[in-house]
Amino acid sequence: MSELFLFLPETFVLLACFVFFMLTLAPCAKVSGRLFPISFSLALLILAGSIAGLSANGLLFGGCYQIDSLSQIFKVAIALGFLFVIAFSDKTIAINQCVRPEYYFFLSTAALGLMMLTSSVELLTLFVSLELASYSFYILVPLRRQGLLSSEGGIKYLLFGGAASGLMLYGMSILFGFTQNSYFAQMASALPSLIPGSTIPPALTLGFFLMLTAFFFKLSAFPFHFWAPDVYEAGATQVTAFIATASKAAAIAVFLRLFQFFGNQLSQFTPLFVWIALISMTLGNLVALTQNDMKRMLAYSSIAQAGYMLVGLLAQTPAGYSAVLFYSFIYIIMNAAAFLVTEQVGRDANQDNPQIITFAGLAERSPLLALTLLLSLLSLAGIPPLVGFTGKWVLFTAAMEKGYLWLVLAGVINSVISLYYYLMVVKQCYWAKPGSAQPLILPLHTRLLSYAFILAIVALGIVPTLLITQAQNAIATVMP
Amino acid sequence: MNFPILTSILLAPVIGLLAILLTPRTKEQLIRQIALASATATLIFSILLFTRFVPNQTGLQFMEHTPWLSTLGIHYTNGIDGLSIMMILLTAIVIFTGVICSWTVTYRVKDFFALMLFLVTGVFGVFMTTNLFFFFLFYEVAVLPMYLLILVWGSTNKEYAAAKLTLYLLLGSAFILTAFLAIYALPQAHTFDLLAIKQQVQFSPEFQKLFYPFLFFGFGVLAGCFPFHVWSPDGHVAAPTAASMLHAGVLMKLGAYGILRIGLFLFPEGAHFWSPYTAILALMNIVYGALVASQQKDIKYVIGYSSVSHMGIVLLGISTLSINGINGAIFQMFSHGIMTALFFACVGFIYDHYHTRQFDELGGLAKTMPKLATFFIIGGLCGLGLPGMSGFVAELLVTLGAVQTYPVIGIISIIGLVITAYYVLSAIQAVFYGKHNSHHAPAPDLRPWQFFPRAILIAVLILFGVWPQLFLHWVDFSTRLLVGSL
Repeated sequence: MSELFLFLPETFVLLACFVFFMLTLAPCAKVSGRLFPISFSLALLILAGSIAGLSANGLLFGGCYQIDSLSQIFKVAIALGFLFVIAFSDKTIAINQCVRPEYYFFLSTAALGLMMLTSSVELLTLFVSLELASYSFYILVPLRRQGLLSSEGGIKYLLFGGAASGLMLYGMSILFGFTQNSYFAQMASALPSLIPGSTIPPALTLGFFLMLTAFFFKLSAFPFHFWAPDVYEAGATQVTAFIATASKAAAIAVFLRLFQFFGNQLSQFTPLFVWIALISMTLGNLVALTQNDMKRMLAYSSIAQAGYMLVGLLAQTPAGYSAVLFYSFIYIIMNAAAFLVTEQVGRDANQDNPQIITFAGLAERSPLLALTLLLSLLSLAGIPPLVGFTGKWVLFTAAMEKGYLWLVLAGVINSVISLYYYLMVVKQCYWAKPGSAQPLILPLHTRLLSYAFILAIVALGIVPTLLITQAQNAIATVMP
Repeated sequence: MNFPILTSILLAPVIGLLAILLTPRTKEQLIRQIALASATATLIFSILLFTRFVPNQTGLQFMEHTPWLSTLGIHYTNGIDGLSIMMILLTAIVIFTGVICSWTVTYRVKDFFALMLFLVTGVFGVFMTTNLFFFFLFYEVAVLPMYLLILVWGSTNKEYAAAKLTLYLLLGSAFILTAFLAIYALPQAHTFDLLAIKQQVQFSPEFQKLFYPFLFFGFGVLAGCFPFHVWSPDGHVAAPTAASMLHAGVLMKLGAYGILRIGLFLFPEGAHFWSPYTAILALMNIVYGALVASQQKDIKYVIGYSSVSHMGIVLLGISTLSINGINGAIFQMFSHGIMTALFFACVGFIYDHYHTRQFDELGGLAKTMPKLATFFIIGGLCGLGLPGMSGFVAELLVTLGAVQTYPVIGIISIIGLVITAYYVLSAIQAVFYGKHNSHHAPAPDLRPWQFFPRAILIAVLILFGVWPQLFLHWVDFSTRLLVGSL
């Protein structure tokens, strides 16, 4: 019984997978009306399960699967992301009515894979979880209705992703060859004896580097970011939102996990992290300046955001780790809010790839959506008193404590650059004349969700104490 | 625990803001009244402050302390001294008169007043907090609403001006933030509490020399420091009346306040090292700003560039690092705040009626709008430093300080004052005298409720002009403490 409780969030996701699988077998005309209420209640159940399991602690499956405060907090984050995406899947213009059960099914398998990633402490478990999530995404992206664009994005994603997985597998094989073990804990204890003196064998360095590659890819950090704009553009907005939020959080979770076990060996990569962070921020922000398509802009912004998260990670201090944990949590909220508005505007314009000019006059057509977008974008830019500001503050504080003055300065200046393109959207919303004067009517649950986003972005910004303390405690128990 | 009067000043606009958000969009009159009520509350509270403030007391007064994020050294701590109390009074006066002057706003009234109150919350916060985290937070809160205020309610090239202003100011704050984090990251510090930092940390001279410019130029952008002033004329011209009043009147002072409160306070050696250079930049401000102002044909641009010039006097005063200079700088911050608010309030009134601000489109307004003309002319006389007005005392003190510290710069700066007299008088001549432009039907003069706020501003200018001791009585001791620690 207690083991089942440890596995509670995943059990609920599995249940969701099963339900959706059964629904795929039913004739589509029969189920389409009930899909949304079913999926929404399942998502709520999953969220409740992950919150209930927040303090669980233990090992499962012969030590392959660690349940601790780190994994559980990320499971809540992923469950939140899942709930948000489900909440605006009530009417998907980009996904055919008849494949919607499949859409839900693969969305939940992706969530399952991501959740398992956060708990994996063994090479093969990690690989299987990663592939479970990745393959679900490979299918979800081209599931979209319009043909050519989504196929292109889907194939790019598959090829790049497959290559990244291959590299990771190669890196894992090297590490396994060295340590003769696939459990992180045993590998970590075997490693010091394998390193004579202070020089780390190049092959070992290569192994770690290749393994990191796959997660840089997931995080869409430079130079593994090429897929992001195309895939963001190609996928249905809901799918993109899930890739942009939950998938990134899971990547951060794996990074934290790797640093937990292999912190000493990974510290040699710090200069690499510095450069990747610096270039990701700068490149993402500069290219985002020139985008016209909202989703492509958000893709480049997410590349930049990946850079910010790496800034916290490379500090390699508890303060840095908890800052990253905090940031990836709130990133889900901010980004999901931006995608919610994008989806609603796209739905209204009957075009799932809204251009930035499509947002013209949103403030007059729907003040609530405009405010949600305003706050989420300003928060992404790190403007106080919103939560993104607090997030960046803790991230940069951690890096500054390790003496990365110029990196922090670059990060802060990057935030200013990013503000420019976020403001371009805000300007459309608040200043441009609307294309149609019709008010944009929102369904009740979308309105409630918008209010929740606004509340979370503002309230967590002003009173972040609880969440930050939670993050600090989680890191303190996992990485003493 | 006494009555938390500082937090009350901060909460008055917040409560007003929430009340406005809850009021239906269509009840415009009620929204205006709520805004006025909360502005009045801040004014009353700030005047109350003076009844309990002890000028000759070391350290900050009205201290309030609430733990916030203790593990990161972030506390909600407030406290004020002579410098802050004057700035709080200034803000309260400007927002109070600004709300009355914006009574005629009719487009998206709810959003307008909500943003105004939000902005002013940030301003009050900066002037009272002693924690660097909250300082930065309030600073940004004060700076950002301006983007929307200009974009939605502004005029004349507003898109460009709004983006320019926001990006310039944020670029400045990027440097401020970096400096704050660098201070925190010092091993002895690990707190964002300004007073604790001052007590615990011995900043090495190299550290001070490196980071003083971060703070000086970071804040200097907002204070309109040459060559980072270019956002300010465009921004002030494009902004709606009340926003210009607040921005030129109060926000630019946030920059100067930041330099004094944090830059000089924490990095005295850095200040000593850099002040000759900053004095030269301040001189550029004074002379260049005045020269450009004298070439303008749009009355609002004249005021915009005159602000650049007048803020140069503030920066020059700060750069002297002397008691006279800094007293003068604070005096100038206050007097310029009131004076520019008055200017923009007058120009806004003209623009509302004539929809132009060009010299050649205006003229002879002294006949049709005698009350308004009187106000503007008194303001102008204050701007050019006529004895008996507060501007005179401020400029005198700064010039005294400057001549003592940097004789050459001090003497050249007087040239700026001469040019100021020229452009102020020619602007007055072009707008208020000569023939009334026949393109426009004569507009009505100020009505009593429009007369009242502008009269308050004039009264303050004259009060401190003829009785400067009153002002210095509040400020002098704090300045001496600050300079004494240099």
